Amino acid sequence: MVLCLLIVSILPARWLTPWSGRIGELASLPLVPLGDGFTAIRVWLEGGGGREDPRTAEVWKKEAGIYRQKAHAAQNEVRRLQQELNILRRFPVETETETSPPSLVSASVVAIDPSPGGEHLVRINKGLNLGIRQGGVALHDQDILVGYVLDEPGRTTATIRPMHSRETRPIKAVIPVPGEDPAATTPTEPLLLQPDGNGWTATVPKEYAVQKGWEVRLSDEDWPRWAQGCLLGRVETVERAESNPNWNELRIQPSNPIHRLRRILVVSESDEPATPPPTEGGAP
Amino acid sequence: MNLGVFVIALFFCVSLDSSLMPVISIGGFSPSTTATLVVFVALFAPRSVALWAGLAAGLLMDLSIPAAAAGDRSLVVPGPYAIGFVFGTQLVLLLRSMVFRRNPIAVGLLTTPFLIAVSLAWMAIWLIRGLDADSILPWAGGHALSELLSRLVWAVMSGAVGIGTGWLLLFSWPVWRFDQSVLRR
Repeated sequence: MVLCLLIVSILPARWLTPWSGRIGELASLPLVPLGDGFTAIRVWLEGGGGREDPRTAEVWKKEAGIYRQKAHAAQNEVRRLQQELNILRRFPVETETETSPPSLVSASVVAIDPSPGGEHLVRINKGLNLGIRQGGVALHDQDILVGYVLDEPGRTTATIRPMHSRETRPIKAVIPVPGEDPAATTPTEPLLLQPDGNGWTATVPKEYAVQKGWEVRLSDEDWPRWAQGCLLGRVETVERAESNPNWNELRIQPSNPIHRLRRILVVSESDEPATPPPTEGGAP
Repeated sequence: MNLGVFVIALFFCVSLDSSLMPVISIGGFSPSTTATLVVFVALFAPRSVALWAGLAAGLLMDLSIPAAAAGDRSLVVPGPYAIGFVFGTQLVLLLRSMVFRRNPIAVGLLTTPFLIAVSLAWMAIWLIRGLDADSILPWAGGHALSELLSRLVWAVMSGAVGIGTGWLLLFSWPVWRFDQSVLRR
């Protein structure tokens, strides 16, 4: 036993790190409750009798004032937006289909197509039984569009195709100018993104305002409404087109490739009946 | 020896060392009650039981806290303390016939040579590990000799605190149900 430990203790770090940390976590689990208790006592012993630094208190007071002002401004903004919303509700522009609530299903990625040159299709652990429908879109972090439901989903599983798969048809997207209020920004000309398996490419006129790192968002009426405006990726390179110096070629890198995620949110068309658009005062 | 009591005492002491003892740390080292516990067991338990107890205590110390960390990397190495504690227990087993075992001062005083032996074994293993250029060392940025000197201070400090800990452990002696025949040898 001692000999084994001696051998283990002189193993190179790269051989130890993959497993020794895990064993350490397991071994120290029973120590956690006791450690918590003792730490609480230590903090009490060290902090007991100690008084708050008056300078720190001053900084906290200033910060509290700033946050109070911000909270007040935010309340005013909420009130203003509420008024605008009430005005907008007078215009029933949406159709019945558009007002039907989407079905939101949080799913875990359970398998990824391992073939090196493949599409990296992803299998998730939810299917028809839980409301996933063909044409649903897969989101991550509520804003990043990572894929869409492929074919007819199974009862308990579904297959998701990554957005940047070569088999996905070209997508229309826009590149908002960073830092500007999206509502105040004039909509830019949509680009046509050509997927190539690792990302997308697009060709734009030279005068098109775009820089490396800018966000690319979906703006394609052929896609479901809840996918509109979702983040697809970021501009990785902007290079002059070889065929025409008046055009630039963009390369767009996906923000969060689906095969690196563990959980996604699938948004599909719901089977529930559509709710009528609310009218002013709630009267039908 | 009552194994259940030893396990509870071991977890208690290791938690105490890592969570509460830093209150009375000197030079970054806080006294070790785990060492005193192992010395106490080594004074009264049969030889093989004492060695296993030392090994278990050392292994728990190795695994409970990463020994070294650099940047975003931390390293848990099972062995340095475990081997050191076995080495130290062996030393206490040699010395136990020369002391009054039921005296808390003896428990405290033996903690110091025990921890010196532990430190020597621990340093030897980490110096061997240091031969690998990729290894992270606990004294990164410092010197091995200063680390050893600090550990000697730690041993002396633990010995002093060990008198009090030893007194408490001797107070609980009946609970441990040590084999009386060992004491007569």
